[in-house]
Amino acid sequence: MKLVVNGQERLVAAGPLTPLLHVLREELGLVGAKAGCQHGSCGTCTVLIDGEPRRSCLTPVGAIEGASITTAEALGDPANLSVVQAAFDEHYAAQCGFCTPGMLLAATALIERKGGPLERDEVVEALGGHYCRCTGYVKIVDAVVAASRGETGTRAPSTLEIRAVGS
Amino acid sequence: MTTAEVTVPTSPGEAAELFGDGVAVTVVGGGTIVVPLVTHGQLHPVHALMLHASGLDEVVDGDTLTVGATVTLARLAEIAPEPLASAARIPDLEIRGQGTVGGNLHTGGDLQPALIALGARVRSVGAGGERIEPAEDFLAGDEPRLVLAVELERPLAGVYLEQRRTHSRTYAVLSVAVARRDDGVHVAVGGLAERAHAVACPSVERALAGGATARDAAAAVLADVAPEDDPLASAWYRRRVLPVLVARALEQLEESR
Repeated sequence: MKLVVNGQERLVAAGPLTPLLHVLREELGLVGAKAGCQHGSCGTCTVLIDGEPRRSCLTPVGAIEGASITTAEALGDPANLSVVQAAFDEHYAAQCGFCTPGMLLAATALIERKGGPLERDEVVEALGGHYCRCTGYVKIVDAVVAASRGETGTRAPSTLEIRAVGS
Repeated sequence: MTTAEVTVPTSPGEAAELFGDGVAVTVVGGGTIVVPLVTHGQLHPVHALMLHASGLDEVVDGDTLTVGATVTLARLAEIAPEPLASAARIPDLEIRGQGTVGGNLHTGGDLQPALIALGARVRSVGAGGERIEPAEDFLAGDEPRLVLAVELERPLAGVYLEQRRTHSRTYAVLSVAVARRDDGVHVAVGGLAERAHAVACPSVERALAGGATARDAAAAVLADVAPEDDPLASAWYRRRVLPVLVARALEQLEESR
């Protein structure tokens, strides 16, 4: 069967009941969506399916033949962060980063759907299915609200700093 | 990895035919229940019936509101009257967009008390063919049935309240649905035990019909339920909180006059 993943048509060999999460990570080598709880509770496997945030761990790939999938890999890269990524960086909205891919995609879809600027309540409601076990949620909500105002931040991306420390 | 034989019906009739008597058939609607069970090796489907192309997602809104089995909770929240709309608004946007009405009837789903309070009927197929029955009777059954649709009439007013663990993705610890219909006020409660289905509360309804206050009528709820201990809450807690929730729901219903 076919899927359109991050704009590219991909052929998938997995059986129809295989969760999209496993297809992305194991067959297509896209590990942005994380395998957290794998029963739909934690949110980190969230991807966009035809623009809507969905749990890839709950989605049997056979049910979405031909659909357009967006994973965190498509959002931006260290040199060219998306608005939401830049806001997460600016507001220290990620700590260990495990929940971040799902948060980024849910936030991106929310801003796409509602436009901006968003109220904090709207962000809390839309991210209600996403667990963070490190930072708490204040900085994450700060970041999404800022992104909805188009505030992309001015600080250099921290991913580059981490790379420099590790080298 | 599953070795299930997978079928994908493209019409409600074909879905019913492939379901047959439902023995050894695993129905996959939104996937929120079945997929994790398969992933974690707790379910090994023999025949999997995937409903995403079955056309069971129809909504017909007239004197009777008919909601197809694969209509999502997100869509239901937009089209349903209270108390059903609030019951469908479970606190997780992604799951709302994926979970279906049919699946919710096969678990301890949050829609159940609302459907009972509204006097909704469930249309299903299985052994003996198609039938339509009150939601309460459907929920009490234990044979395999494929839900086709639920049917209900809009009430005069409705209120849904629940007790939920903070930042938790489980079903509600306790839920209460009340609806004022032409023949009086109807009350149902859910969340009485792990995987237990919701039940109607005839003792509360009788007390209300007899002129009892909301608080006195709500106290009668303990005659209608048998709460149990489970990982979410103890039976003791449920017995203490349930009358309070029922009273609040009835008072809010009064205020909506």
